[in-house]
Amino acid sequence: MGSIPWGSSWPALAGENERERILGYLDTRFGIPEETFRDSLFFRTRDTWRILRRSAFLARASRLRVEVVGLRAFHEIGPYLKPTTRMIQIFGHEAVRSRVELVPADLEHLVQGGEIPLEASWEDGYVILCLKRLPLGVGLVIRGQLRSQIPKSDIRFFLGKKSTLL
Amino acid sequence: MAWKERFTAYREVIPDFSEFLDAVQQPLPTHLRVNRLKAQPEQVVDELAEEGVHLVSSHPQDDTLYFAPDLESPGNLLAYFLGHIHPQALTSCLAAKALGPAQESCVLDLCAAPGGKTAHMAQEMENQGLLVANDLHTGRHPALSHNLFRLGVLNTVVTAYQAQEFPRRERFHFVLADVPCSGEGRFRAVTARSVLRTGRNTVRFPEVQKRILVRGFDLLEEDGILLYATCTYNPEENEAVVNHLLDQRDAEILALEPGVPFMPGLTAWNGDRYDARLERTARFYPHGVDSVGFFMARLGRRE
Repeated sequence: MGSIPWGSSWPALAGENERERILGYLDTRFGIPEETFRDSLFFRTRDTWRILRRSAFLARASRLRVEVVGLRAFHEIGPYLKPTTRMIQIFGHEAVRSRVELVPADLEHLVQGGEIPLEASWEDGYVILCLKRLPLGVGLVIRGQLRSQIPKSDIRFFLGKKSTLL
Repeated sequence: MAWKERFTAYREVIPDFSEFLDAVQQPLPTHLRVNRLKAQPEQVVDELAEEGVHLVSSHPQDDTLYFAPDLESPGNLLAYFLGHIHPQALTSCLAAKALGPAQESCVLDLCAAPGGKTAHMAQEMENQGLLVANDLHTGRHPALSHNLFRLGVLNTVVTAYQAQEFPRRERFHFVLADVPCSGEGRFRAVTARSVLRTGRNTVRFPEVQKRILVRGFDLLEEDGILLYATCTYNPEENEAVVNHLLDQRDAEILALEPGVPFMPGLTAWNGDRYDARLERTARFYPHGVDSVGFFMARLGRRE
């Protein structure tokens, strides 16, 4: 893919070091094997990383003026990578670490902006919030306190009314 | 314009016209597509049943399509947030099925927003190959991206070309031309205030549609397939547009097997005669399949 002459509207394709950094983070933090992303490419915009399926036809698209490439996978938050809700919903089921299984009451508390204390053994950083083992999105652990990072606009249906969805 | 006045113009071409009028006065049923990119149909059916949402299969050959008779707001479901379901009219779901893009192929959706059919094609492609989702109106791109992201689509890039001016230098195996139209098929007269909108742009639709269809056809690979679709009953936006393509290009109308009741396309309207092959196109009426009124033509190059 490195030989494709990407048009100027395309974000930059991740170099080998950047790709290793992304895959290393997913493996180290969540236990998602690098092999999962063998058929995926990563592109960098100003402050996000996009993921796009590798295809023999990408050379054709490289000449198009593009507005959006693939799916938004990560935000760059200072030196940290923050996975997006949708990235976690797609690949979170492969994770074997940093998953927090919630009960409905916990989830409602989190989406209302609350915090939940975790055991001291949890390292600071992003975690995968799960309900009934389904990855919902991202949480953040800081000094043993868990907060939801799922955008409120995405889960507005939980807010302001008693959910019957759980 | 009063809707009955408008639809009465179709009295001679819509079979069982009184049943059609009755159907148009019933609310449009909620219909869902299970998104196989993120979930399996049986799993979703069970999950929703636990939440009191009863699904009824809507297509005899497709276990991802369901009516949800008692469901008013599918966007309020956890399954929606998770991208397991997408609210989409049954007839709208037929478009991606009729086009049938192959997994490792190069596909163009000329008028993609808000992305329901795009995501359905990505599902048919099992997130492989390349899918170009084009929509001129960048104001519609947030909704397009939201749906593609929520539904877990990974094989798509979004462009913003005018559909009829999409660059000719690329070729595609499959093209979907789900063109802007008057939207008559979406209309249901369920309250006294229901109004069939026929804006100033309506008269311009056929001209734009013809240009989009011809460009879409020109973008096909030699053995490529194009699906032309509208959600209107108006023959001037349907058969007349496809007839224009047959006049302008060496095109062939391919057979359709949608798996739900439909009527063949018209070969005459308002004194105009169309190519006899227009009978191979498909018209979907609400008294045949309880969904949005729809038109489809599957097209390829003539051998």
